[in-house]
Amino acid sequence: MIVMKESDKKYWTDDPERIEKYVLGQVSAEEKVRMEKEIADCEPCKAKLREEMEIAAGIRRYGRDALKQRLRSKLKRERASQYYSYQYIGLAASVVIIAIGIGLYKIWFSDLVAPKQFRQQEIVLTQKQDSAEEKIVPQENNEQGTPSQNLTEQREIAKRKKSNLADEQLSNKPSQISSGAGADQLQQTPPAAALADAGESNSSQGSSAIWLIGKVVMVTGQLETMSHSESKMEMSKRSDKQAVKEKSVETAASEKMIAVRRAKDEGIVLQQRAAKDIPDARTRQYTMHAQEVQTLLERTDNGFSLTLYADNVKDSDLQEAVVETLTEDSLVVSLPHQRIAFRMPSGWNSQPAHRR
Amino acid sequence: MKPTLFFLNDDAKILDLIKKGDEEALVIVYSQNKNAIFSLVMRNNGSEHDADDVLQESVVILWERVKSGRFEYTAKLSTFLYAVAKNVWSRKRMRKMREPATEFDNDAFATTDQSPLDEMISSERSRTIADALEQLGDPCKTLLLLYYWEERSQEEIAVQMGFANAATVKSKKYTCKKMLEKILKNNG
Repeated sequence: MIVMKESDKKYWTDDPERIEKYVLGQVSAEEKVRMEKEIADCEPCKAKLREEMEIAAGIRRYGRDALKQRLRSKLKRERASQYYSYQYIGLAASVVIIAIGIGLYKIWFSDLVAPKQFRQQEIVLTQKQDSAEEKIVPQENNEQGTPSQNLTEQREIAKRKKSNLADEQLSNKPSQISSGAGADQLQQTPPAAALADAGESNSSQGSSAIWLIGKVVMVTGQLETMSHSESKMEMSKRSDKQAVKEKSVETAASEKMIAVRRAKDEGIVLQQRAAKDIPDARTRQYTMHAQEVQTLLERTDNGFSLTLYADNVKDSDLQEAVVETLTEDSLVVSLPHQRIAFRMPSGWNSQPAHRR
Repeated sequence: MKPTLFFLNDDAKILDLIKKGDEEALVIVYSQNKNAIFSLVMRNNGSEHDADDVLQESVVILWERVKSGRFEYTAKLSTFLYAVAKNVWSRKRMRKMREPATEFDNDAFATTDQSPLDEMISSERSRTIADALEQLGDPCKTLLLLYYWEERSQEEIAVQMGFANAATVKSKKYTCKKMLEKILKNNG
């Protein structure tokens, strides 16, 4: 308890510790009232108290300002960090949107792309010059495939894919074009050709036409192996071991082909058109190669229509043409000066056929 | 008022951070109360800048109270901060705009009772003294801040600043105050 005596002429404001306690609010409310009452008539005391309070307030202000400054710095960093976070999020969102856009673009325009399944493994019918022996040479046309892959596995995979695709395509409604030959007849087929061009696998649109790649295997009537050299080069690229294995498989397949040759006639109407008539979309999507014939296979009411887009095939050639199925999934068109082999979708020839 | 366990836990973490001197607590408190305080100030004729300033000052006052041991946890921190912000904005607005008090100016907030020092802090004189303290430099600046701002005892200051004992602190404090008064006198 602070008691100031009048005789001393001293006040509590003369005691630094007491004045600090008052300033810092470290005295009770009751004591505070008494202290204030004591200096009510002492102007120097009040001035001294005020001065002490101003110093304390100034020091506190300095502390507050310094702390506020540090808080502002932290908030600024926090906001900058958030800003960059938002920027990163925005950037990531942009990338995702662009990726989705590219994806949608590809989806919308991919119907012009020929399905890979038909290009995975083309069977080329070759015939040796000396022995006239026919055999199947698997040709790696799949740009995504690896030559070192096991051949048997490749064939199994290709067969499964082809089977699925053919089931989809050939189960669609038949084309309005049932028969006929020549360009005049074919001119009536743009819808089917367009559908085929839009993608052989586009079964959802009801397409009954597919594009086939025919391999020319013999020219000028002799059993000349046009693709034999290509095949040979390809063979040389592979390891000897794989080549031997492949050859044995091919020989077996060849024997089977010969056994089933001419076993079944197909109702196929042959037509011919100039190579320049191939739709642009088809030429854009598939690079033409020598010894290949772009061919449109359409289902008709009476069977099939096979349109060869080849300049070197004449109408008279078509009159003498013979269409043969070698296996369930291969077909050969024998013309006077050349033979064209096709790899067909499984189950495509379930209908009765006739020769033209 | 008994706070829920959730708020008790949340507030306790913040109070613990402040007691440890972790200034990241300031950012947390600022962020948690930003919407409420900004809304309060802007509803009462304040700008976004005013609201930012009021919230910062309120957060600093909370820090002061906790550090000095004068904070009593009788309500949620958000409630305390809201009340402090009301007072701070009321004072600021009256000072700046010379406007009459609004409906909340006369509210009594037990948690935010203003000390006479708080009233004086905004004065021009306090700014002059703050400037003089900056000129004073260390260790006097730190010592006076610890004593008058953080309200540490002389024993605590002795430990923190490496003085021999409380008596040394008392002596040093006296010297520092005299130096400060001299600077103030020189500054006019």
